[in-house]
Amino acid sequence: MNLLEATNITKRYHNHTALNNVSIAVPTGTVYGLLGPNGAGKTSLIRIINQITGPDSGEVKFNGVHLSPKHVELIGYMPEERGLYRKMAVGEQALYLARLKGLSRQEAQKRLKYWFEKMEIMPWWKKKVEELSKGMAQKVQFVITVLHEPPLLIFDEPFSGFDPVNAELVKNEILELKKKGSTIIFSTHRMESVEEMCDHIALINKSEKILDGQVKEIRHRFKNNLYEVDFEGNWISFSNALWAGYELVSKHEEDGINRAQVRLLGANTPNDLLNAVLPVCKVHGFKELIPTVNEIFISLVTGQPIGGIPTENQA
Amino acid sequence: MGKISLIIQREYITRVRKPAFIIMTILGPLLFGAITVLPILLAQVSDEVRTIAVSDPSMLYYSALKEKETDKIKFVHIEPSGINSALQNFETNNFYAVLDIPITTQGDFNQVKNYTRLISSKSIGLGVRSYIENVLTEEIRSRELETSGIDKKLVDKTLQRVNIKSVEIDDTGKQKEKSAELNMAIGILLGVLIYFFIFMYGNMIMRGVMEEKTSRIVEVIVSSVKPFQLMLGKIIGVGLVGLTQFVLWVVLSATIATAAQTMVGTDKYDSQNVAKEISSQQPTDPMQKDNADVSLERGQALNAIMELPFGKIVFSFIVYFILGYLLYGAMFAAIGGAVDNETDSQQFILPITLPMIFGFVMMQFVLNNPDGPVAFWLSIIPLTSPIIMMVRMPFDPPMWQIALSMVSLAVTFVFVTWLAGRIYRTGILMYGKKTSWRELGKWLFYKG
Repeated sequence: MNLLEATNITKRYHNHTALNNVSIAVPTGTVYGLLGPNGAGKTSLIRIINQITGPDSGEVKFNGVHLSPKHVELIGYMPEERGLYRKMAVGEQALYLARLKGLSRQEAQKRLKYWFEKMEIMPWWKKKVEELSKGMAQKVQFVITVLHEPPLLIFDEPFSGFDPVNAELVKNEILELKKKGSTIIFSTHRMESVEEMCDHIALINKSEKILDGQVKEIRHRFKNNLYEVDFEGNWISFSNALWAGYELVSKHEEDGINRAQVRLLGANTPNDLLNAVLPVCKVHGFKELIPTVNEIFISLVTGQPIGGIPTENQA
Repeated sequence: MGKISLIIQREYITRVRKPAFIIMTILGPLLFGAITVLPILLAQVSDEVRTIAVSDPSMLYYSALKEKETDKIKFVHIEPSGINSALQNFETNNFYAVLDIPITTQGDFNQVKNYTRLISSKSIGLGVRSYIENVLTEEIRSRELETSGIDKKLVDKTLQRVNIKSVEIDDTGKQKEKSAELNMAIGILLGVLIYFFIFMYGNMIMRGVMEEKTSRIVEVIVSSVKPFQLMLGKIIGVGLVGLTQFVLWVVLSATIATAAQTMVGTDKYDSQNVAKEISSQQPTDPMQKDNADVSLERGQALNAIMELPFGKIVFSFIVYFILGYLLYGAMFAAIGGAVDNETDSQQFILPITLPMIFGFVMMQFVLNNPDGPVAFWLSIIPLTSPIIMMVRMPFDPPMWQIALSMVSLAVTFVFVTWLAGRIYRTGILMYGKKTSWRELGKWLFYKG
């Protein structure tokens, strides 16, 4: 069951197309990553889902129903460009924003108390926002986003501007919300936390969706018979052993251990590779290299093939 | 609707609680009070008796001056030889000034006319000088008449002043007394009020929108409410702030004015007495209206006030006040949404406020001919009509013109707000981009 389905969304501005026929389907109870370089159209799509702007064509369905203004209360949104009224007291402001999302005053007050205590920002309730540190303000923004407990949460570049401590805190809160049953869309151009957090991803580049699916499935889809062999022995004899049916993609040496990335060609299997190299060296390690989302992302965006990337960067 | 009222509440409460608002609300009437009370107080201060030493060696004019002494101006005769000592000892002698009339003969007035001096250690008040001038002029005039054998009373009789009452007859034949001056004063007051209100609170809207944009909160809010609702809420909220301030000003001013009058003493120093005292400084000017004239005019003015179409004026003031504010408020909101900072806003503010400034400047022109074609068109064209129609209002323009003006203003308001909303909703989400007029034009055609 998909909580949110956007079908064939197109959005044009005067001299450029922000989104070209983009469709995504966000399954209920998952974390959905919206990936893409800056300016790819992620924020445009998110704004359409939030009904801040409308699409030129295409349709968005929420729980199978055509998206309408009554749905704003079912969505929590933390935009990339986020801020608060600088001159307004923190608590009062949070209360106002919560009530705009349809909470009653009493309910909002109760929930704010819970979250402010949880985030350890209760002492700042009466302070003006301009007196808050940036990290503190970000906590307030996060609380405001999730306060009305919407089934769908959207975070646009949630970690930009957060210090590492707060980023970790928010990450854990997001995962906790998922456990409680919320569906989460989050957009980012930074891949570090994607594999850790996302179940599904969609990759948007130059206004078009170029890839989507489950993270695991995508990574396996993009593996291309690349294996990593750690061994002790002679590089020349190792290369010679791979005289036919293999391609030595990269080689690397560290602390007397050699590391080679080898691509299987033709019908060769991992066992064939092992058989070929076992006679000439002492094998310390052997594993298949499954591309990371980051590699897939860079490869798709730049057009370079996957592989040949130093192994230190790999999971 | 619930959300708009939440927005209105926030806009209203945060502004009304601001120290600047509270200070302005209290200070405004105090300033206004000061303006009304100050002349009264000043009149009291100048109550000190001014003694003027008169050196008149021929003794031809001193008696005339002495005769015209008032409570405030006294004359003392000194010998010409005493001038120097009088000049050196202004303080000890308590002389305000020394009047030095040259030696002259009975029939020769040129000496007096051209060589009389008024000497003082401080600058001499205009009132005192013109008072003395008037006394001397009058004295010379009566003597000239006397020498020529003409009866002064006869001459005075010829110096009559005609006082014309303007009366307007309406279709039913009913007569109304009119006072052009009063109408002008009221017209200007109403026009200026609307002008300043729109400017002050229009700017407040613009700054509010820019604050939301630069603090980056706007996207959080428009994920809960429509941009148009946010804009409307802000315009209405700020408008209510303005109305609150306006009402408080009126109430406080009235209170202060009343309190001040009771404190200072009503009988002697109400404004009418002040006016009388000021006019009594030139008692010898035959052109001067006598008291009977003054009270006659006052009676006419009162009649004219009673004859003003009050209901119509108040009603149309409220309509133009609100519609004019909303119309310009929407434009100010659009500008606030379109720009990133105050500096960039200037290029957009000037063109949209130009019609209003034009209306303000044309006020005088319209007053001279309140039923002429310029007045007509400016009071129909919606961008100037809130000011110009209010200026015309005391002159009782035809009903159909008022209706036409109001309808066209209302229609324009709806249209402009719609346009402003389109610019606003695109603008508030555009960061770090310098906006041009062309850009704004394009925004109008973006799909919501």
